[in-house]
Amino acid sequence: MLYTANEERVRHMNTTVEIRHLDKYYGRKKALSDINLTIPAGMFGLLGRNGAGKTTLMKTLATLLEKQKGEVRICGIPVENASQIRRIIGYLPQDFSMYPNMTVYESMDYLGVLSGLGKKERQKRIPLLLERVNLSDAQYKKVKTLSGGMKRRLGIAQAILHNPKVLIVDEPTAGLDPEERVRFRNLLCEIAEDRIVILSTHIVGDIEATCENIAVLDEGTLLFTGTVEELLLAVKGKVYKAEISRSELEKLKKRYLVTSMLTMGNNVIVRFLAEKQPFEGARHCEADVEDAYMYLMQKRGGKL
Amino acid sequence: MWSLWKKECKQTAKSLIYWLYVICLVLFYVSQMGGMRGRMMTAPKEGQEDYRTYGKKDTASEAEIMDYGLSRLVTGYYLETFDTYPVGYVKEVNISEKEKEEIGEMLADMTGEQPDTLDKKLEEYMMLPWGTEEEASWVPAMRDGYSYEKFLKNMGRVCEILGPGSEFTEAKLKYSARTPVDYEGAKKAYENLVTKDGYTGGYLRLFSDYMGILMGILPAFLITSRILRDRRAKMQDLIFTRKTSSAVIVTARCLAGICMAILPVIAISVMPMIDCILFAKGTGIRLDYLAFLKYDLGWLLPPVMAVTALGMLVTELSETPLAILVQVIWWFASLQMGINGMSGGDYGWNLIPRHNSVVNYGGFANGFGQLVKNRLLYAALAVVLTAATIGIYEAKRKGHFRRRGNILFNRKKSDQA
Repeated sequence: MLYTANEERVRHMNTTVEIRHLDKYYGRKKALSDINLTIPAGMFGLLGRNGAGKTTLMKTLATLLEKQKGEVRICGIPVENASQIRRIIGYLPQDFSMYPNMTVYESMDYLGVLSGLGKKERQKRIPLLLERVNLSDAQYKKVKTLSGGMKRRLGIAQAILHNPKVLIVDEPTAGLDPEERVRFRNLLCEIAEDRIVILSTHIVGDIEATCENIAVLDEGTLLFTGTVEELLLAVKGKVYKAEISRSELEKLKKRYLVTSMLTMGNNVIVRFLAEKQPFEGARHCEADVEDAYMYLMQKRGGKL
Repeated sequence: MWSLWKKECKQTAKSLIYWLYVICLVLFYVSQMGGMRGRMMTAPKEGQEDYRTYGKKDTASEAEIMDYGLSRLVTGYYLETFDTYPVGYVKEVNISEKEKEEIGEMLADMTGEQPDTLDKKLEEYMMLPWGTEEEASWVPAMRDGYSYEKFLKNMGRVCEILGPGSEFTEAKLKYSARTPVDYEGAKKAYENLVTKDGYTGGYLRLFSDYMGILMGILPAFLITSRILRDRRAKMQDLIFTRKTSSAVIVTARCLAGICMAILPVIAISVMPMIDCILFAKGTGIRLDYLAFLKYDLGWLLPPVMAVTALGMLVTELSETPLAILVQVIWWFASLQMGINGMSGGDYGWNLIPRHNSVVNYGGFANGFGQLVKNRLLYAALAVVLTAATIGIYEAKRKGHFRRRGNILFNRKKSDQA
């Protein structure tokens, strides 16, 4: 892919997102509270339940919301400098679409113009990107005829159209079937090779499969930031599996946090979290990110 | 900027509402001016039945005003009801016994009749078949020597009785009492049309009068639909995070809206030009071949600019079709303001200046200075409104003024945290 002079300049920028003491309010309601984060190049996962503040943080980074306090720098540029930031970011919102009567190519071309790309550049880049997201055959299809997965892939293609240094992707896999989800995650990983990709999601599997560095948000505050391994370390030795009778299940659920269960006739195989060996017959098992995430959330709630 | 402008024009051209807009323009033209080809203005002949088509005299004499006012008052008095136009639409005002008595006394005073015999004479006069009024033994007429000031005082009292929108104000009486031109007047009107207006000018002015009515409202539909399309298609965030500045986005969209609105007007304005060319063939009349551009761009473009810019501002601010309601109010008020100047010349500051006549070049020439100021005002207003829209658009890109349930309130959806 060819790079313009501006892109060359951007390529040599410091590739980090620095967030210091970030506060954001909606009226009196505090949506983000004293957020401190350093996001390096590569895939970065932002995990949290619905309403945790993920979209607010993403929108603040994408210049779609103004912060009240704190400092945010994207590749060294303060986020207040919106026109400069817009040159180096790509954004795929959670709830997006495109003009339904435009074809896939026309949509890309329209957004390419808004990204300041020249005609020749667009003619060269759009087919390459559509091929990359496996939409070459659909380039003359109208947007309204695309499936959910195809729309998401088109969303990614438009977000990297101007070769941004930072790609912000908000809940990209929601509503996708498993095959599309895997394809989409792989695509994001490929894209993250030479830039920052910030992936916000409440689906733990997406983070586990793609991100090395993560942050967990809850009610506007940062619960955890670090690597996936560090998150797993917090729950190491605290994940158990046991086969119990169905009548014992309610009792177990009251005492421990059950992260999964599988019914087998009158018995249930449960996976749960406990600080120490809970009872005889419960076996240690290897923790996954979902266990760690649940542990973190419950710990905040004071239950463990 | 121009790439985006081209894309915006293309997008508008592909929309259904745009073709509805074009159809409206064509139908309106056909209904108002479509049958003109066989009825083009020719030189008046001395002694012809009347010269109504050559316009009315510029002014009416005091006697003509008093005669006209009296005839209208007599009709309303007899029917015990008057038509008024308080907000443009006709409203029937029924007078009470006491009010009828008061107006009867005025009529008796103005005609010199005794109040007790006036009603009987009036009854006989009004019952005469249409067209036989001249055979009547009595016709209502102002008595000799009745002063104009006293007449106006009476009319003022009638206005008080009838309320707003009465036709008995001095301005309305002066306007309505004008009589058609005579042969000399008709000759002059035709000479002006041929020599000063290049023949086509008169027809393009009439075209501008009709199209001005549509240009005062329809562009609002085009731009409102275009701006709301971003929200409907959930495109806003994709566009807001792009490199292109708010000034370029707003200006390109506004220019595209204006160009696409005026383009079919220019195309349709070729029709009266063709009518004129066909008529003038072999007559030696020197036509003004650029009249259509002069009137399209000079007369009709400024309201298109102002309406588009206002529509864009209100729609960006409210993210609703509120702009259409705002424009309907402005349009309606402008139409009402224009009612007293339909024959042209009295352009004022109206968004929709009227000149519903092929002739009356004199009125046009007299009002030309004001018309230029008027058109410049609306062009300037469009620039100011566009600048304000740029400011609002940039603020929206940073999360302000975005409608999430309530207009102008930055309320957050529960699933958006």
